[in-house]
Amino acid sequence: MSTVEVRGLSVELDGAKLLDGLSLSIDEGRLHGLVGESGSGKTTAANAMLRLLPAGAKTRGSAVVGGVDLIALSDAALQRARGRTVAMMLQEPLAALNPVLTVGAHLEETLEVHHRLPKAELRRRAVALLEEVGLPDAQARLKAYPHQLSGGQRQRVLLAAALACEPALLIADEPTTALDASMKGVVLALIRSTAERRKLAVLLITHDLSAVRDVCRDVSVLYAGRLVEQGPVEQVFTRPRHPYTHALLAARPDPMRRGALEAIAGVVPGPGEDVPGCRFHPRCPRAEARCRTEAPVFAVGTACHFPLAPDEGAR
Amino acid sequence: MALLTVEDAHVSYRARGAKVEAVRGVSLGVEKGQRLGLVGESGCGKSSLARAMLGLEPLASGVILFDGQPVHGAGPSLRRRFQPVFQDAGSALNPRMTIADCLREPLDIHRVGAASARQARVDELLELVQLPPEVKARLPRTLSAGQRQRVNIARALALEPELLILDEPVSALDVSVQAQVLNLLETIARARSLTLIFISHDLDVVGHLCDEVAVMYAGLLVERGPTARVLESPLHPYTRALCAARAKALEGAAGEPPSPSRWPTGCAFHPRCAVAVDRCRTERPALPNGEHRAACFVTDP
Repeated sequence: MSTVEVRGLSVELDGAKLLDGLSLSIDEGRLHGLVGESGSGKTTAANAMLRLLPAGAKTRGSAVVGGVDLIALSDAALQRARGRTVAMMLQEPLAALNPVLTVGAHLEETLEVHHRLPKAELRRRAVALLEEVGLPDAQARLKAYPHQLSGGQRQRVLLAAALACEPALLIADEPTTALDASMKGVVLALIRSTAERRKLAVLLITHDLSAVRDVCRDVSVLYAGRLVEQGPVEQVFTRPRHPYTHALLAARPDPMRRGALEAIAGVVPGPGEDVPGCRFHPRCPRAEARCRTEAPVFAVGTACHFPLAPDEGAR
Repeated sequence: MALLTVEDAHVSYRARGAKVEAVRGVSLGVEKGQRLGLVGESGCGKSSLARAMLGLEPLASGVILFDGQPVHGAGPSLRRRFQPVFQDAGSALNPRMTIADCLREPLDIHRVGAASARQARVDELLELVQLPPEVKARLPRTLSAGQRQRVNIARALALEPELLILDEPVSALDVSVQAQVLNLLETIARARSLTLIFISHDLDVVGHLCDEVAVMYAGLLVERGPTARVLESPLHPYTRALCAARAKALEGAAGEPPSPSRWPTGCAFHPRCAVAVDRCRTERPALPNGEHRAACFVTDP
């Protein structure tokens, strides 16, 4: 049994199906990439697992982390599970950190909520966390405010705070999107080495396909709330089966190949928009009559009536 | 002669009383029909340079010439020959104006053709960017982000400019929509022999569309050359780091980009550079002449 077992996770809000039957597992020390364009449901999946969805949202399915089903927990038990079982690292570190609290106060507050410890011990642990995420001069940094840190340093503080209660699962939602190209690699390498050292399962949510290719073991591709393809990274990226995955990989510009890009016609359907059958069919070059009426069931790595043959999508 | 010439351009701002030098002496020329990609990270000064090239940002010193005439203080007949496309397609359009009005406005301001013919020109523009005529009566917010960026491109083309200056025009779009807009730009640029200055942090996007690449770091140009040569054999250590990160997500440069309020001395990249020598700490390397060159004492002496 893996550290993380998500089964049939679905979210409905005001009649709109934001997420429809997501299943995935993550082993300890591994990174799982969750990719998709805007409206694909990837952030909804994270919020469902953290139980941070707005009131009125209906969640079904299960998300078992370290033997605990986060979806079924009572509110009191959830409070204990957040941080210890699952922790989150957000995209925009400046918005995620309270501007009037020092780095030390952030970390000590997080530690204090979950562990009853003397002040000196809280401080010692906060310093140890900052050292672990590679923030130089950790002792002095405790007194710094978020605005005095650079983007990369703030991202490290967020990771330290997420690790404070030793979670089994870390959800990182677009952790490198706000960072510059020359710095992304450092943050990705840090997340990966932390996962390996702490035997932490990581769900990396991103639209950056190259980040997933290079740091994750497995990948799930979402389209309009549904899982369309899942499998080991080297397989999905080199021999995609679902026409959407194939198109997504082909749509990335490649400077060494000039000429027209293989753009996907049309736009992603909105959350309230009801597309019968396969939700990708209006944009799919392979769609046939069956795709317009019958939703494909996820089997052998993809949810498609007419998937590409194993070598057909080879890249 | 180059269509656009930038000579030792400096752009500075005052922030909380302190002077911030965003662009610290950039010189470049863009020939007619050329497509130049300008690459750099946030804070490197690429958007300030773009705004200066459009005459929207005053220069602290230096000069920018379009077809031999200064862009700052240009009259309408010169001004209409170079047009911008910005990143945020939504805020670039007036939210209270219909798409037809958004496209008609530049024609009215510049009194292009008879008033009666302008409506036909709006239809032509929509067709050019492959939008259906139904969008004319709609407001910008009812369009998707990709459709809005098409409207901005149509608006920029309304006055038949020779040069488009595009600042991160596809960065806010999803990958699948990004490819549609890039294909559209390629088709239009080719059909009308447009000159392009395409600004982006995304080396792949720039490389795909442009025949030359210029790399900016800390307010200065650090490398320029033909696209294939810059991407395949980058000279400057900073460009090398960007190209490595492009090939493999775990690569990159040590440290972080410097703050515009406190640029490092000498070569601004030296604190992050693995090959820096003593001279790099005190003396600023110039960008030499040549087809493919870099401002570096070590790799392009």
